[in-house]
Amino acid sequence: MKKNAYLLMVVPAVLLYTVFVAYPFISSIFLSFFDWPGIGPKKYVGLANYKTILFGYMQPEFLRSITHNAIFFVWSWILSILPGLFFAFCLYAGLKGTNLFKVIFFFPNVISIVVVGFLFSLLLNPQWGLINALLKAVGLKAWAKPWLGEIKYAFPTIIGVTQWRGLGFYILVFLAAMIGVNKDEVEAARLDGASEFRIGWSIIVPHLLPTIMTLTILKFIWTFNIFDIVYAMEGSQGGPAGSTDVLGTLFYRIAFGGLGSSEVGMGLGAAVVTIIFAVVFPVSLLYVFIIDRRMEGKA
Amino acid sequence: MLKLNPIQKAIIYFFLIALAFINLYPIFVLFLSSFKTTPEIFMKPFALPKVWKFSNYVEAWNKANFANYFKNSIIITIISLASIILVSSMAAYVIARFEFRGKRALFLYLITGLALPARLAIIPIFLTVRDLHLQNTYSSLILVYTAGGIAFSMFLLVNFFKSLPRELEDSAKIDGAGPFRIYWSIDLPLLKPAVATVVIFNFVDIWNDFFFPLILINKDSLKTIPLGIQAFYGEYGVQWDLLFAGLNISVLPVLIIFILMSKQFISGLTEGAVK
Amino acid sequence: MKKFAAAALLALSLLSFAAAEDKVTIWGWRPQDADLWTKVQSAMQAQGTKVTIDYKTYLATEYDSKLFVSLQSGSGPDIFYTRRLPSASRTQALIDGKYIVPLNGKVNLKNFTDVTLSFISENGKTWGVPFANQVIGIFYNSDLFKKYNLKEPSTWPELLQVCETLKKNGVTPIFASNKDAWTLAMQNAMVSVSYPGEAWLGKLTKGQAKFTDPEYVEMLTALNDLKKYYQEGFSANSAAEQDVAFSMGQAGMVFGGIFQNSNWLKTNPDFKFGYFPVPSKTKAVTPKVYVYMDGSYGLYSGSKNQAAALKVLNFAATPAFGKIFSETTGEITAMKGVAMPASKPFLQECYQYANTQASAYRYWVGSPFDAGKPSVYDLLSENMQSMYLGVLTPVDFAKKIQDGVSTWYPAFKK
Repeated sequence: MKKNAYLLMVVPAVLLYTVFVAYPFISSIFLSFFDWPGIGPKKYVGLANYKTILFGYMQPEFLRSITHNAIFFVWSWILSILPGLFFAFCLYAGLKGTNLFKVIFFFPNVISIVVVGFLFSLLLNPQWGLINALLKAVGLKAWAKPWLGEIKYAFPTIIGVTQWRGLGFYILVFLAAMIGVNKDEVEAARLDGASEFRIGWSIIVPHLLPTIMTLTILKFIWTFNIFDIVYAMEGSQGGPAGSTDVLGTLFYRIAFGGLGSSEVGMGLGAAVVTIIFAVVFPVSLLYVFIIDRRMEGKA
Repeated sequence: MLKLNPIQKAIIYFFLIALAFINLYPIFVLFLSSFKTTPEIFMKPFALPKVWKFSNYVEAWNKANFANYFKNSIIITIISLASIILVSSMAAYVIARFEFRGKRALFLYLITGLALPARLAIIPIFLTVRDLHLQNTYSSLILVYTAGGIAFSMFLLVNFFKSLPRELEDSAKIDGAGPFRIYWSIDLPLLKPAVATVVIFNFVDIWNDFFFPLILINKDSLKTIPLGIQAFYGEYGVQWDLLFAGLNISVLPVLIIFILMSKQFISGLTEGAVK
Repeated sequence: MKKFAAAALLALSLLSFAAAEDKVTIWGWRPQDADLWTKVQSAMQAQGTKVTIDYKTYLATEYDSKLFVSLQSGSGPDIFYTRRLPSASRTQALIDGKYIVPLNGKVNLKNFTDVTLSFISENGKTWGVPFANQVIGIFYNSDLFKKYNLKEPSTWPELLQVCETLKKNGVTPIFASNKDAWTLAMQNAMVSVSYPGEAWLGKLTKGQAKFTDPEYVEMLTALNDLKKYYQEGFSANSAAEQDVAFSMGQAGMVFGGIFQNSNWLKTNPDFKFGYFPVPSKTKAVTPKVYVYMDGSYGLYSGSKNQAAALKVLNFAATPAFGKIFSETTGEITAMKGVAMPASKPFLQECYQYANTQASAYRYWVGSPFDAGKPSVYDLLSENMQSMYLGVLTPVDFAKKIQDGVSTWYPAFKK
């Protein structure tokens, strides 16, 4: 017994994790097979909730939401990875003031998403908001749109705001990865007469591919779980006309009810969650696998 | 570390400054608005406040109970961070230093937490908290945050433990020290750099979180800052001037700590994504 | 004999002393009621009733789940705010789960109109003491109307005339809050009781009319056409922004509710505004007002303080309470025969309308069309924005509502 006493040291972690993370997830999946308004008896309904979401009257809403998540992922990726690389190179150049820029770029990332969403809702007000006021001031009145009110613009606007907050993270991750590239390789290429641009493109970027891979996975997980920013800027209805509805807001509406008289269906909500889970989990496992391999590599 | 000619440098500066401006200006607006009256916030976004209403802050702090929300946020954040470090480092130590059957399975089990965003399981989490009679307690949030922080913190710390030299521990073992003694007296003090990373990684998320307090806390006296901000939202209206002051109060601590410790911050938050 | 009487008196007074200071807990979703309950406690104590009231607020969107879960674990408040009937999940679930006590015979409800009580009664049983009636309709800036010599319109063409005049003079006729979909559902609902009218709504409720009828499509078209009088960029404005713009004199009218008045007065204490019901098409049809009971106070069946709670509920059914309520919250009490505070003439006006011109039929909140999924509220919330944005025609819109409701509304399924 004494020999294995050290195992006791993992007990707190395992206990907490099981009670507050693992068990709730299993329980959520379990709940998805019931009809339950949150109070009173639970009614077992088998796969009825899933049928409703995937094939029944909720199908249009569900397909619309998941499509939006996918669009969010694609655009968010393009707007994070490409500018991220670009600005990381700008910082890698090592000009004076680089450290200050690093801090400034990361600033928005430490501000709560709710605050960011709220702040930008105000900046985007069509009549008095700063953004439209600025556009009008420089003579671009035609571009002063009601950003969060038009079907064409609302979702891209939310994606844009998310980038404002998150770009710094990508810039700095890339920068750290670039710095990790073997300096000798870089010097050798320079001696061979390659331009700085060639060096960047042919030597440094290939080294960044694993990082890009990891970031892609993280972004996938993150964009499919998105909720806070949409909720903060458009509420739980995913307006206008459902154009910003994502799986997260769909879940929130169903599980906790929107404003007014919507029904509260926790079993149905659990089904939505389980579906999100089913989509995201395999990709997340990939991430876990990569981390695990890295661990084993260090054994 | 790139050799560039002056024109290239100028171009780069242009882009860097442009992005910096885009990043800073909205924050500047956030700050400025907190000193305005409600109509001013809406109608005169460009202008400086006519009168610098410091009273917004005083009112938000007192009448709107922000002093209390601040206290709650601090207590919950600090205790959660301490718990995460303690619990995760113990587990990480065992996994890094010992071999036993099921070790890999245990590691994978805990690491899977990285793929489980706790928020999705909110309903059962709420029910569990209720069944344990922990509703409306600091403990409910602390336990949830600690459990949620285990996966990533543990992964970071296992990494770190493996890099610690074994000699110190070996000499302690020869002296007859048990595993916990070794962990407590030798390894934990050496963890400082990694601890900084763990703390920073979790700090921002816990401080800014509003979803869990929203569901688990009802009593106004126990609300954290983000939830306190929500409290400003009446059923049909809002006091925008106080709200902005409140937003600044909530953002300020994080920003200050960030500026003071930016280096550790950045390395802490980007860990796990590099390579 | 005297000794016995004295002893009995002593025992009685000791007993009542022991029962002194009964604490009654109340849960609600209205933060504005904190002051109210403090005043009620003082008023009741002044009357000699020893109760202390402990009131807690929860965000409206989370109130139901919080309440449900607490009641289930047996730790609920003595009194909780309830929403209306019919409602498939919320209030109905409370009744089905036996968490709430019918108040017939326990509370004197003679001070409420039948229309008001109908919002919280079912099969002869009344499940709560109504606390407020909400009146929705068109509110206007009195100063602007005076400036341009405008009178409250009584027909739709007159309303359009008012809009024209304002627009010609450079004033935004109507400030809309299209970003918040629920306000559009509310707008649609308040127009429906006047434009197609109460009689048509009655037929609709009984299944003798359809949403696809020409008179309803005509209403949708009229609403859609109204957008030329909205402010530029209206699709991105929220209800909160509407409150600021209206109270700061940036528009002539809004489609709103009396519950918004405290927001306006907080932003601009000098703001002068008036109210008129949404006008009907022609003078032949009387304009009606969409009135709905906001909520009621329900009694928890598992309360350990039922006697004290009933005392509070009975007090809440008296005009004295109604007076305190209206004075403190600036809203309209649900009971009749109460004088509204003189400082708020608009309250008196709306109160009058609520008690004399309330539409007996409706399809938004507090209606039979709210009892199933998808409710008319859901359908309006989802599709009003689309209509205003030009991606859904009024004809298709009407069809969507009809088809959606027909999947569950009994009278439509025949």
